Amino acid sequence: MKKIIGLSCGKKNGNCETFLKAAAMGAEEFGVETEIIRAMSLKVLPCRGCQVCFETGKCILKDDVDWILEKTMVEDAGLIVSVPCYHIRANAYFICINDRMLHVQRHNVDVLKKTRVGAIIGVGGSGYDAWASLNLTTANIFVQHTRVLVDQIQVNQCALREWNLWMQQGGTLTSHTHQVRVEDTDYEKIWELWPQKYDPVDFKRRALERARELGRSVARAMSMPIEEVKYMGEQSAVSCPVCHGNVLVVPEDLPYVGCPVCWVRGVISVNDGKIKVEWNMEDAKHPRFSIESEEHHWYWLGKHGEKRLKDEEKLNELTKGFSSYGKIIKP
Amino acid sequence: MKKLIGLSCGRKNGNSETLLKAAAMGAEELGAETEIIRAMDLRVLPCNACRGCLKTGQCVKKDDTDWILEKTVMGDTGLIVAAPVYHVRTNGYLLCISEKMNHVWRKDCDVLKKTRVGAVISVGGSGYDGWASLGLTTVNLFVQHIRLLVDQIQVIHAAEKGAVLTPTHRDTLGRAKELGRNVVRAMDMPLEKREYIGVGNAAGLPHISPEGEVSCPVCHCNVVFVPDDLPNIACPICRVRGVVSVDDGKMKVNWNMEDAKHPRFSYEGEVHHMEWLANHRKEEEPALVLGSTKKLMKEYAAYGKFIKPEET
Repeated sequence: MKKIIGLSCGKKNGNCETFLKAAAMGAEEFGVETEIIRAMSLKVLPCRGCQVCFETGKCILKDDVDWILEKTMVEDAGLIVSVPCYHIRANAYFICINDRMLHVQRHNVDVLKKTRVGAIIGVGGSGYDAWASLNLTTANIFVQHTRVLVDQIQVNQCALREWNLWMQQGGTLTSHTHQVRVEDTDYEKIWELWPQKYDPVDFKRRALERARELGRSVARAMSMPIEEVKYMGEQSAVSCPVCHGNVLVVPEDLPYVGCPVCWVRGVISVNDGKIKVEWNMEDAKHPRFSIESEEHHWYWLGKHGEKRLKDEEKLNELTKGFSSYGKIIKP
Repeated sequence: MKKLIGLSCGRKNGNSETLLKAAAMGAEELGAETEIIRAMDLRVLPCNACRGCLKTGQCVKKDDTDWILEKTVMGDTGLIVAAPVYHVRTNGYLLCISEKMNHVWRKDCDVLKKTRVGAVISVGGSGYDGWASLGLTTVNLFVQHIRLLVDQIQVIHAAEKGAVLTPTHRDTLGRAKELGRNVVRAMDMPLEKREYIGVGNAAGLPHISPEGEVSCPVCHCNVVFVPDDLPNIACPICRVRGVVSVDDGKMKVNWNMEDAKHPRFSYEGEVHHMEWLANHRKEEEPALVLGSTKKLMKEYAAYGKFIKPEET
């Protein structure tokens, strides 16, 4: 890895792009150059699930996503993805690019080997009351396939320390976000409850410096053996050992939880009055997006598809009844 | 005649569409007509955040999303959304439509009042090991603004076209029809009697994820967010807080039911958020016009090696 590919899914000269540039400046201090892709100036369409790409290795839609995927997935480079949060999760420019990645990894399986490093910058317009809580989660669903995650930040423009993990040095502010919902509080009153207010200029300055440090972390990680790379980001007290996210899925019941991104299982337990998650560290060695698990997934889908092929004729008969049903409307 | 809008974000005659049709058939038994939108037949593009729509009331991009949003967000109808799971969460078609909704409901904020009902069908090609775990969660990010959710199903192991019509999925089809009936039943009830009718633990239905024991009282999804530390959690969609506790050896979540009356996407929650954003913008404005800020903006605008595909 001699350079970094920076993918910004935000507006020209917007916050995502600016923080990505700050990261690029940090990497530049270590002699590492960043090439920046501004997705919003390119053509990006959603995936139609036609599966032609699996056969041909190319998407049939006429847009720039194959080129973006070539740069971000295949090139021997570090990767920094900078994504704005729209409606609690990463925006659709990013999602559309992510959706269409499969043929690239199928035709270049080695990209799934974790020999390269990456980082994520997430930006939330507000971010209080978990308004940006699925941004890093959805961004990791793309990055985890091809990179070892070195750092990530979610910069929430509310500027509340309580809702900006990266501002909480040395441990999270336990239960502050639980005590009160900003939604239930007058705009001015929140500063009485949470007095450490940053003014907009100071907040921006700190965030730019933190983004710059993210760039330095990526550059440093690029020059060390991959097995020595460590995660440099802040973590909440409950944090997946692979993606370091703090979102859990509870498929059946407590105490059993899992990371929805990585499918590392966990058990919530109480020890000496303290409640925490015991993560399954064997799962963490082979998470969902490790090369072994991805190969298993393709194998599983193949076996599952085989079962269906045996009944193709019968299925087509059944489908006839449905394909003609329904009042489909258009503009 | 009771009307439903069905929005399918899957392939023509794919599993999402087929299950939506099954739901429409169930609704038809109870006298409701469903008009179906097949998003993949229409032009759908992501949002550029240019804010043209907030000024003009129309998206500047030449696609069909405004029309789709008019049909699904406005209008006195029930709503059923059916979408495939791509990469653990719902797909780009649904998320493009969802993120461009703001200027539509801002024409009439009353559409945020939960006087209409809706349901969600999410379909995963696999779904073992949590492969579909953010499916319902991410579709709820759209539906929770504009409907009271009365039912939802996460179907798993339905990959190829026609999969939900195989014998393995016989119960899936029946369940989708029941979802359609549930929506119409809810439409026939007075507002205060409407509630989530989603089935609990679906033992014996191996290809439908059971609704877990830990589910948000508003969106009924089983994904939680831990911003600081246990035992304090929250639903990322609805912002209902919860506390994990152990009673008689059984671990469970105590949900804050006051929060559940005013979740994130309640009318009051959304109005608050818009006011908050307006206040915040007023705070930022003086800082944005500072000489030092403008200087930095110029420096950053000029920095960076941008790359694009070569013109061939």
